[in-house]
Amino acid sequence: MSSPTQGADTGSERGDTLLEIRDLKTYYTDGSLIGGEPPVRAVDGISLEIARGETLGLVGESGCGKSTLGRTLVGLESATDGTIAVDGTDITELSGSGLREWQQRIGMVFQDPQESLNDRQTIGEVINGPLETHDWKTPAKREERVFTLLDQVGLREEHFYRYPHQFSGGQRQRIGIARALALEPEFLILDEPVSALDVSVQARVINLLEQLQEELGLTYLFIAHDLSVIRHIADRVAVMYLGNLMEVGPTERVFDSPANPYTRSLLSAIPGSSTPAPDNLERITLRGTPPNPRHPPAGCPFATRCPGKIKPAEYEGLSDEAFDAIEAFRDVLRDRSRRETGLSSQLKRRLGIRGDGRSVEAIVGELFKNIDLSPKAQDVLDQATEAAELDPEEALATVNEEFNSVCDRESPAEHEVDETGRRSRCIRHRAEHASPGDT
Amino acid sequence: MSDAMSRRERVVGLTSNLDTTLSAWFAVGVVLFLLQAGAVGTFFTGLIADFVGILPTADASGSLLASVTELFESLQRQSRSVPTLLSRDVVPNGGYWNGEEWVGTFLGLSPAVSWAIRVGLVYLYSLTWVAWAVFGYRYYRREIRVADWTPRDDMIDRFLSHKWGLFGAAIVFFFVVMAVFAPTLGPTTVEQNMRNSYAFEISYWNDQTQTVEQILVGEANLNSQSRGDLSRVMPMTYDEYGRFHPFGTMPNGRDLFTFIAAGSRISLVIGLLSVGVSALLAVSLALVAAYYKGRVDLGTVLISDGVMAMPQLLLLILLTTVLSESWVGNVYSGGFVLALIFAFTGWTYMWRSIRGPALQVSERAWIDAARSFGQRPRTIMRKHMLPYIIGYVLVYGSMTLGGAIIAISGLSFLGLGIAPPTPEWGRAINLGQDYVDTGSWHISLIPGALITLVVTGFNALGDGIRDAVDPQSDSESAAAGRGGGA
Repeated sequence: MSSPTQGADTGSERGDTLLEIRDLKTYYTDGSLIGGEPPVRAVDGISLEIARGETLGLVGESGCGKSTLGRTLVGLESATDGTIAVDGTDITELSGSGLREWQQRIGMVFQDPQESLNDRQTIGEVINGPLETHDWKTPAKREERVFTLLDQVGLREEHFYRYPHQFSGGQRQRIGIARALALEPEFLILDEPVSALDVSVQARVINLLEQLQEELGLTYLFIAHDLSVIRHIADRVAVMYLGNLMEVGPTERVFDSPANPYTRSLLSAIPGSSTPAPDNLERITLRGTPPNPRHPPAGCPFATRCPGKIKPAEYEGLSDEAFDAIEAFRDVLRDRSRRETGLSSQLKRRLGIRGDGRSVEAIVGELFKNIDLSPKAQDVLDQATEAAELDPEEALATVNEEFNSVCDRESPAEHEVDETGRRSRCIRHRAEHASPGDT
Repeated sequence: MSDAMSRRERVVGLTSNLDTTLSAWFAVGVVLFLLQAGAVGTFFTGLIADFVGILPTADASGSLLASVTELFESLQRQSRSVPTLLSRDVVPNGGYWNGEEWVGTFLGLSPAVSWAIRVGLVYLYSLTWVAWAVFGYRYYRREIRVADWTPRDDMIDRFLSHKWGLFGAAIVFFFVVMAVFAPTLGPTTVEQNMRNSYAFEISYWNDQTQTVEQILVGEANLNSQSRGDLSRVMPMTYDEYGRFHPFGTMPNGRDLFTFIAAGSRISLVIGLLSVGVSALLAVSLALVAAYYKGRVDLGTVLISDGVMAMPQLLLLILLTTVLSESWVGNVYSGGFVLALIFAFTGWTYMWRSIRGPALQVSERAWIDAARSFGQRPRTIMRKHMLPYIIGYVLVYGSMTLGGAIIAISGLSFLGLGIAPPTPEWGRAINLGQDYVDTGSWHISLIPGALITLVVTGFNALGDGIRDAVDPQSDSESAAAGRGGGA
């Protein structure tokens, strides 16, 4: 999409690595003094390189941690583990003046332009903010720089003295872009920059971003959930699910022949005919909701919802519907075992007082209606159903032991899909299984 | 940058054309100030001299502090000799009747009329300042400022269309002018009428002997007491010594209006000091807690809950008694200590009220944006958070000021707080309470009504500001200002 950089400040060729993320983890703890729940694993071990001058699209469902990744890069969140190397410096270790120096090289554009501009400041003050913070040259030069920036993003000089209230959403986003560009950064993080805008305005802001990239030789990390926008602007695309990177590769390759089951279901979910989804893809409806990021699955993060999940060897013959029902049953048990840890609910359970929910028996009856199971499977299921009311944790363990497959047990390693450097994480990439596309 | 140049030329062109209006406006301000420059100088030099003199080490003669005190006292004497428009010497009302005409009053008019003229002049002068400021603001907004609209304009316009708020502002204006010009407004002075009444002599027309005679003010006071139905000097009347009493006299024969005017200054100073200190504490803690959240926020909640749990009234009684002998307990007749106690027990209420808005604004994305380009926390708090809570500080500050005035009066009513003989409104109510059901009802009624009016005024002003800064807020559900303290 973007052409080679012309006269970028860095003077480097396009293609060298700008920054290299290794096993990055960003966890949110709830900050309580004692005990507390396990941390939210917003970013849970991501490795990624971003090349100078490219546009890397980052997609995923909301809550998958893509914004957290961007915020960690710019220093708004501190990384729990892992490294982000830029020119040999690990920026997760930076603080104070080192961090402020890095923050001059990176800019961030936020999703909601109504929220990201202080509406008690004039536009001039807003854009001048970064310049003033870093004591950029002299006040007079700063003012001139603000006028240059206004011009660059397509605003007029008289807007200098206006307030954010007096602008439309698209204009406000232009102001946000001007602010991010103020310190002449080489790298912009665009956190869903157009998703709060009208479709007609979206196109214009995207054109502006492309034009700026060409003029200034910028590198973009473009975070979005809108796949058509990503397909339009990104050189490479990274697909995130539950804090993990599922697939990374050149945009066209990923969109034309997705290698990962999650990418396939994501692309198939785009409605309409004139979509970027590959034609041969049938619509895949994912079961359930993403797991709680405090308690991610032990194996593949996508295992609880994956349509191509590998069945355990002894149950090869069991129908897909039966496996769907078993997965749903496991969801119920997981939910219950996590919920019923309070003292009062345990007491109720011991005394045989039923909580608010329905009985497990009724749920099982509904889930497995019209489903044939092998006698052994049926036996395990009955056992678990019986135990579930009193001890859902044990019931879950029983079911897991019987029906866990390799996907539940092992975390998939990265697999080099093709010669373009495309990588995907799925157990099915192993030689002994059918590849994800064939299921 | 041709664009920038054209804008600058526009600004320069504007100002050179408008120079005459601007300099005229400025000249009016200077003239207004010069009319009262002597009084302002006297006030500030006196304030500094008093403050330095009260420090514990200032006693030793020959010490540096003592010489500083002397320096400022001599400066005060000098500035006192500078003539001012609104002094008692220019429009005197303390004359006597010599059988044919008034002697020593303004243009030979009666003391009542002379006094009324002086009061009128004071308010005219103050209103002129207001008009000057309003014109200056309008002119700036219309002609000088480059921005044609700012969010603050909307707030000011909303306030100006808020009738209840304007009523409050008017009451507060009258009260503040009364406090500022207290020495000028009274028909007599605190020194002559109360503190040293036996050191001053006045002349009066004795009806029986038909001659002008002399009498000590203290003795004259004894004969003009308001005690019940038989002996009383009612509002807007003269006593036997030709002295005019706009609000009548007190049970000890002193002039009630002079007492109230001087008392208003005490109330305002303590109120402003306590509200200022508590606002400073509340704002800094609210900003820091809202920015850092988590444990810092929890810590401030714990501290404020601890402070709230302290019984304010007991603390006031305890500390005023304990500190009454120390040097700090005597600053401003004990008012300084009172203000500090009010501040350190009262900031929690204001902090509670602005914590919500502060937390709200700390969640806005522009805070993240500022952090993303490396702006320092203190700058973020000042530039991106403070402007959003300063309106609430005004609202609650105004309402707390009303509460402080009630609290100070309540304490003096109980015989605590401001040490006699320094005038305080609550003491007037206390002194008059035995005569409420007699002919001398005015002693308690007038200060009581004034307290109610002034506190209502401050609350109304707070309401008006709240509706101006936060038009969505429901005036019913929003936390009401804090009423009486003690």
